[in-house]
Formats: sequence, structure tokens, C-alpha cells
Amino acid sequence: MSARFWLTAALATTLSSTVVAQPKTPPAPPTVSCEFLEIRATSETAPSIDPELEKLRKKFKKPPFSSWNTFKLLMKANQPLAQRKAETIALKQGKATATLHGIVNATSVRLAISLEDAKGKNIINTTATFAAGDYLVYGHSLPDNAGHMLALTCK
Amino acid sequence: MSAADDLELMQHADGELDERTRAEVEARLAKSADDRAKVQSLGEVSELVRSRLELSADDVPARRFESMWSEIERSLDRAAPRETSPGLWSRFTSWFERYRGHVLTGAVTAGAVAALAIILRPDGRTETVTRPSAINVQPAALRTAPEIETLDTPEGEGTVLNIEDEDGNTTVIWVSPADTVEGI
Repeated sequence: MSARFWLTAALATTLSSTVVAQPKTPPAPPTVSCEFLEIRATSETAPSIDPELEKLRKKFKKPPFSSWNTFKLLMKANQPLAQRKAETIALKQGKATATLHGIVNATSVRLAISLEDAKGKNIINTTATFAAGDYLVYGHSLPDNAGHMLALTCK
Repeated sequence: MSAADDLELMQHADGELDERTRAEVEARLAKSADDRAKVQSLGEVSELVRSRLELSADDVPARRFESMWSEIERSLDRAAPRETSPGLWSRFTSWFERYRGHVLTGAVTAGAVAALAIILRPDGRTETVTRPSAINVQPAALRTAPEIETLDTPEGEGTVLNIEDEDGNTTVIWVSPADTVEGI
């Protein structure tokens, strides 16, 4: 090998390794964005569904929602969820805690959800895997025969 | 007495004769009073000369000798110029002059490689912007039904049901109070 070859190789290696070895920004952990809808369901003489619940209108006509005819949005929150990080969502009546446990096949999320009622009683602890765009609805009946629900969807 | 005989006497006085000649000269001195007088005179003259030289040598200051030796050394240096080794810089410049073409070729090639590395390097900013959209929303017909892995309802009984339509799946988890469930 000639001296020209070795000089070229040495200079090229030094310069390119200096450029390539610059620190890269670490990749951001995967996150999903979930929409939380707190809903109060009642039976009224004049049925109504809050316009922001339009996507759930068809479902409200089926059991167990068909017990009520009026659905009012109490609270709406868009909450980004990072892996293994519990996020608390304050509700009008109680609170929810959501933890993203993973993304399955890049199309579904695995979530752990806990719900407390207005008195701080734990009423649901669950882990579910569901597709992006689908809904999970947690609900329970209130003493005044109303229904209290938390609907969530992720994308 | 011949001149050769006088020369032998002088050599005898100076101690320069070999063994045999010295024995002959000493035998002659024993016989000749004239020769003995000559040798004595030679000894006296030699002593006078030696004393005179010693006195002259004492008169020369020591620094005079030093300056003389310095002058001698300088003249020797001038006569035989010292071979000086080339310095680091001069060696480098001489090497560079020799391989200037190689160095320039290497620098240009290295610059091209570095430019390619910069262009082809993935941009971290793009990655951070695109990364959060880590989940795809599939058409409703392609979605699988939700799976409830665990369910705990401390305050009552949990019921799970799924509503499937053209919009996809809606999974409902309904909690009924325990006493109500018991009453059903």
C-alpha cells in the first residue's frame, strides 16, 4: 500500500468518526394520547345527548345505556400517556388513574385503569388491551338512579 | 678532541647515551681532565637555561594560557565545521515538501467523506417529532375485540359486555352494587 493510501485512510477515518460520533438525541419513549369523557346519564322527559358525545350516540341506544335518555358531558380531557407512568385524571365525581403498560402490534394499547367515586372509594381496577379508536366505558349507578360513566379512547 | 667526541660529551650530560657508549665516555672522562671540565661546563650551562625557562614560564599568567587554549579550540572548530542535526520543524517541512501531493489528496478525500457523513446522518429532531405517533388507528372492520385481562370491583359486581358496530368496538364494564346484585 502506498503512503498516499494510508494518509487518505487515516484522515478520512479521523474526520468522519469525529462527525458521526457526535451525541445523538435519545429517542423519546413511546406515548399515546387518550381522550377521557366523564358522562352523567339520566332519564328526562326531553331526551338529549351532548353534541360532544355524538360519536357515542349509537351506543347509547343499546343496553346498559338504553336505561337513560339524557347524556351530559361533565368533563373532557386529552391525556398523553407514557409507558409505565401513572397519570391521574381529576373527574367531577371522583378521579381516574391510567397507566400505559404497552403498545401491542402498533395498533392496540394495554392500559391499567383505576376509578374512585366522589367519596374516594375504589370501585374499579382493571387492565385491558383494546384497539386504537375503540372505546372503553366504565360505569356505575348512582343513588338517584342516574348513571356515572367514564369513556375513554386512545390513538 | 673531535667534534664527534664533544657531541658525545653533550649527550652524556643530557643522559641521552646508550649503556655501552656511556661506559666508554665515562672511561674517557676518568682519563681526561679536559673532558671532565667540558662536562662540568655543559652541566652548568644546562642548569642556567633550565632556571631561566622556569622563571619565564612562571611569569606567564594562567589566564593567558586559558585564552591561548580557547583560541586553539576556535581555530580547530573553524577548520572542521561541526555537522549539525536538523531540527524537528525542518524535518517536518522537508517531509511535507516530499509528500505534499499525498497530504492534499488525503485531506480532500477526508473532507468528502465527512460531508457525506453529515448529509447521511439521521436527524435527531425528526425522530423526536415523529416518535409520539406510535400507534395506528385501523379501520373498524380490522380491529380485534378488546380483551379485559384483569377486573377488580371492590364495591360491587362487575359486568363486561361488548357492543360492536360499524364504528368498531365499545366495551362496557359496569359495576353494580353488591346488594343490588344479590337482589336480582
